[in-house]
Parts: sequence; C-alpha cells; structure tokens
Amino acid sequence: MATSMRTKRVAKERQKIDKFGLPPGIELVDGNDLKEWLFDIRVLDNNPLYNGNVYQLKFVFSDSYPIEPPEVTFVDRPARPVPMHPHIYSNGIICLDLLGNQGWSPVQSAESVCMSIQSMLTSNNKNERPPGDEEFVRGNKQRPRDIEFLYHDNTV
Amino acid sequence: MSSASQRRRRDEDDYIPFGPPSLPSTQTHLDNMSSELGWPPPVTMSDSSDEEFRDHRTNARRISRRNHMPHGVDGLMNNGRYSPDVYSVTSDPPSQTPMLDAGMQSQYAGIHSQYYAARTPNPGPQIKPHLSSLDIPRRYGSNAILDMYALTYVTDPDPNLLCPICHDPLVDPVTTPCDHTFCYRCLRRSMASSPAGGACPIDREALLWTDCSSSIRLIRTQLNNLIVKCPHHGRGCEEEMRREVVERHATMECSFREYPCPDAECSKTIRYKATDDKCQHQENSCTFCDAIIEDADLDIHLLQCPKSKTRCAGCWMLILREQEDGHKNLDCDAIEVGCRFQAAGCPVRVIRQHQELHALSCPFHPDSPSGAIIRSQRELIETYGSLGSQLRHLRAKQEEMNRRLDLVAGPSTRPGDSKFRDSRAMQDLDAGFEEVHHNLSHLEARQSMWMVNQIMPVREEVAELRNTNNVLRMQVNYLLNRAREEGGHARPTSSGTTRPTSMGSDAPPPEPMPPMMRQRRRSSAADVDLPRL
Repeated sequence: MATSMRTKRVAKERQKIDKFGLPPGIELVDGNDLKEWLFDIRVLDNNPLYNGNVYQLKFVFSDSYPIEPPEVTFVDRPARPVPMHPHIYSNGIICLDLLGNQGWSPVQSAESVCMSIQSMLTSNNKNERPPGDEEFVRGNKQRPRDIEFLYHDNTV
Repeated sequence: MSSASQRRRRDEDDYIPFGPPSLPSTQTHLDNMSSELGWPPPVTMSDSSDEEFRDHRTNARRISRRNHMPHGVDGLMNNGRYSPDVYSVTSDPPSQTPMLDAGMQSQYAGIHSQYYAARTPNPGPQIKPHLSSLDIPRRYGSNAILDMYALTYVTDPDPNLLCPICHDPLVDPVTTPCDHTFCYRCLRRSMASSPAGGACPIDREALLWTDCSSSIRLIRTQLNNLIVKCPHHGRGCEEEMRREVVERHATMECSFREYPCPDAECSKTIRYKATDDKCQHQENSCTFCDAIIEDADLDIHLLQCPKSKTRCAGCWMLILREQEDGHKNLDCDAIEVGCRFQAAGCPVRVIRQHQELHALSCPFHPDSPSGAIIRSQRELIETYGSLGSQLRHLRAKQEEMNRRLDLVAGPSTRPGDSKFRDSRAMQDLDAGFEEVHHNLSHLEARQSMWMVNQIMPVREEVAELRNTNNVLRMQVNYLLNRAREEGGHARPTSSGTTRPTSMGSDAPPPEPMPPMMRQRRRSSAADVDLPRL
C-alpha cells in the first residue's frame, strides 16, 4: 500500500507541475518515471559562484514517500557539475536537514525541496567543500539517507 | 509560514476572553448571562443551530487546548468558558445535559485541562475512522477493505480540501491543536515515522495524537459530498456517486464488483483480480488460526481471525485481535486512565503514557508538601467519619436503654400506655393469686386428710390402751379391796388411793362395786394420770 501512496503522490506532484509549472530557475528534465526524477536548477541572482551554471538534481522517491524524505543528490556530469558549497560534497551528496529524517516533513514536495536547495545556493558565498570532503567521498558507501549528518550550520 | 501562523494564533488568542470576532449575538448573550449567573448557564441548544455553534466551539476548543499548554495565565483566563470539556466534539447530537456536565467538570479542570483532553476513555479524534484509515497490512486482510485513500475524483476538488501530505481530498480528516488538518492515516503515518514522536508536519509544533480531534462537520460534509468514480471504473462501471455512499456501491451494488474465478471449471466469482490461473475456491487453513477457509474469503476471515493482527486506534500498534481488549485495558499508552493518586482525591485523567509524568507533579502525591496536607486532612476526615459513626452507634444504644428503662419504670414515666399495662399486670397477678389460693386449699385438704388417716389408728389404739388400763386398774382395785378386806380390820386406813368417804359411807358388797368404781375411777384417772391426746 505504501507503494501506491508514493505513486499517487508523485503522480499528483507531476500533474501539478504540468498544470501550474515550476518557479523560475527550476525545470523538470525527466519526470516520466514515478520513482526517479531529474531537475535542472540554476540560481537567479548574480552570485559569482553559480551564475550561468546549470546544475542537475536527482530525486529518488522511496516507497514510503512522502512519509520518508526522497533521496536528493546533485548529478555529476560534464555539462552539469556539482556546485561548490560548504554543505555539498563533491560526489553530489547534500548535507541539508530538510532531507534527513529529522528535518523532513511529509508536506514537503519535490518542488519545495528544489526551492530550498536553490536558496541554499543563492545565499552561499563560500567557495569551498565541506570539511573532510575527500575522505568522505572516498570512503562513503552509504546511501545519503542513511548518513547521519550533524546539522550545525544555520547560516547557509 | 510558521511566523504567519503564529501571528494569526495570537490574534485569535486575544479575542478569546471576549469571544471570537464572528460570534453570533446569542453566544455573547449567553456569555453575559454566564458572567452574571456563573457557570454553567442554563443553556438549551437546539439541534438545528448546532453546526454554527459547534464551529466556534471546536475552534475555541482547539485554541484553548493550545493555550492550556504551558502559559498559565491565558489558560486561567479562558478555561471557565472554553475548556476542552465544554467544547467536546462528538458524533452524537448535542444534548443539554452533557453541556451542563461538562460545565461542572470544567471547574475541576483548571490548569490541568491539558490532561482533560476528553471525557471519553479514548482521547483523540472521536469519530471512528474508516477501516482503511487504520493502515492494516495486506497480510492481515486489508485486501478486503475498500481503500478510501485510492478513490478517483471526478472533478478537481477545492484545493483547500486536500491533505497536505497525500495531496488528495482528506479522508477521515483530523485537526491538530495547531489548527492544521490532515487525513487520519497520513497524520498517523507521519507521526509514527517521525523519530521525535510527533510534530505537526506543517509548523513542526510538538503534537500528541490524543490532542488531535476529528475535524468539524462542515469539512466532513463537504468531503462526503465530493463525487467519485466507482472503484471498478477501470472495468467498465460508469457510475459516479457521492463519496459517502461509494463503499456501499462498490461492495454491494456494483455489477462489476466480482470477477469470475480464473479456473475455467469453477463457476464461482471472486472479489479481486486473481494473479494466477488457480481456482480461488480451494480450501486452505488460515495462516494464523486453525480455521479452514476458501482462498477467496481468506482476507475477510483475516479481518475477524482472533490470531490475526489489527491496529490499535489509540497507539497505532499492531496487536493480536484476540488481545485487543487486554491491550486497551492494560497496555495501550493512549487510553485515558485516572491518576495514580485517584484514591487520594486527584480528579485528573491522563493518557496512560503520561500517567507517571503526571504522578511526579501531582499535587496529591503523598510525598509532596501539598500531598502531605491532603493526606492529613483526609485522615482527619476519616477520623471524623468514624467518630460520627461511633456517635450514631452510641445514640442508638442509648435509645435502646431508654426504651428498656421505660419498660421497667412503666406507668410513672410513660402515662400513655400505663393503664393498659396496669390492667394487664393486675389480671396477671389475680390469676396468679387464684392459682396459688387454689393450690393452697388443695394442699390443706390433702394434709388434713393425711392427718386424719394417721391419727385415727392412733386414737383407736389409745382408746384400747385406756380400756386395758382401766381394766387393769379395776382389777388392781379389786385386788386391793380384797386385800384390805382380808387384813382390813387390822389396818383400816392403809391406802391413800381410796377415798375414806366412799369407804366409810357405803359398804356395798365387793362384787357389784367394781363397775361403779370403774366408772368413777376412769373419769378421775383421765384427769390425773393420762395425758390427753
């Protein structure tokens, strides 16, 4: 039954996007599958770090979505780099409380998550990776939802 | 988002002591009355006007619950009129008495009214949810339940009627104390998955399921009036109906509700689409109990099987159906129970989960200062009580004593019935005397008889003895006379026993003398010698 909840909900979100569109700077690239979506996302202001770049977000909806958060990562492709951000690892994993079990709320949607990440990029001005990025990228075999992040930084 | 809602809430709070802004004039009138007469006012509410009233009541109830949480002053200001007890929402039509009852209880509620979530033993939403809301897993038979959450709606419903979680029209809507509304199942799932134990998905305010309530009737009727397609529309049923009646249609009326058994040789039908070609009417034993059930009916059986599991609506745990009652009575955290110190007088009722928490701060806790005072007062009261009963006992005893004294003292102290008692006593006495008298005379007669009987032979003997004696005397006299006559010339006056006169005057022949002598002697002898008997 959980499966049907996910499919229904994702289909609803898809319907809504088709009907009302998405906010500026966010674009649905691949939303045919009800399990995995791809969004293109770019910042709207003149932040020199991200201006002109387009990044791609991958959403993987688990069967318990929206009770459980979706798995959201940046895709690392030549045309779609992983943005430079103190909370984004170079393999695309995002450290954002919204995407953890603690911070997630079932009233969030793919759209609202995209907007959160967009604003997270917009408000950043540090051109750096999170501390311990290299080790993490080398050693991490876990899926993002199983990593226990410590959400300590409320500035960005 | 949250700041906006907080601002709105503050506005509402400000309005509370004077009633919500849109309050109908009757309500303000009632409020005035209640301030004059004190609570509870003599409210009579007709069923027809209850929709409007109850809207306000539920609003006020929600808001007051929120206020009662930690900030005490607001709560104190409001609880008289807007305590949750007064505004309980039930599916029953409101009647006059529960309102008054609630008014009485609310005096007790005070700051503790957060514990007074509901008067029913099952706090939380009072309207029983549809079975599909309970999220029973498929292996426990949920197949047989029509999933109200999977309905297809004909038109796009009002976006305000959508659940923020599933984005579908609300099913069994439940409203949180922070005034957000969700589907029953969506909210339960969200709260069950959240590691913190429950927060409102929208504003993340801490949330207890028991503080949530069924949404107001206005919302429910709007939802029930939504038009849905028959769940079998994929198979050709073109019926569209109000959501309220869809279950009846889909399970009893729809002509598309049954599938032929996939086994060509079987003529029976099944309620679901078979996944393989096997006949669904072979009998197998139930997975959990010993019952033998046709495969096609297994899911229905599982919904009744005592060894199958169901979900407790209170604590959302899967429990064996046979243990449901025991679970509710002993284990379930969400069932309302009395305080541990109920016996000491604590009127608070809390959900079991908070029983210990409340006990720690309970003013009736025997180890707390107030508890000690209460205990000593209770002891005093008990002492008074026992003294009172002793007094009553003694009084009863004294009355008994008085009664007995009256009996003894009789006529002097109680003139009312002395006459009667006197005559009775006298009669008794007379009868006693008579009897005694009778007995006495009888005894006398018997004794005299006995005396006579004893004396008669003695008398006869005495007479005989006297005769013998006289005879002997006569003979002695005769012998003496003879002896005297023989030697009489020698000694004429030898004996003093004979009288000289008789000796000297008559000188009859000795033979005829004796009878005369005997006669005379006898009388004299009786005088002198013999004792009279």
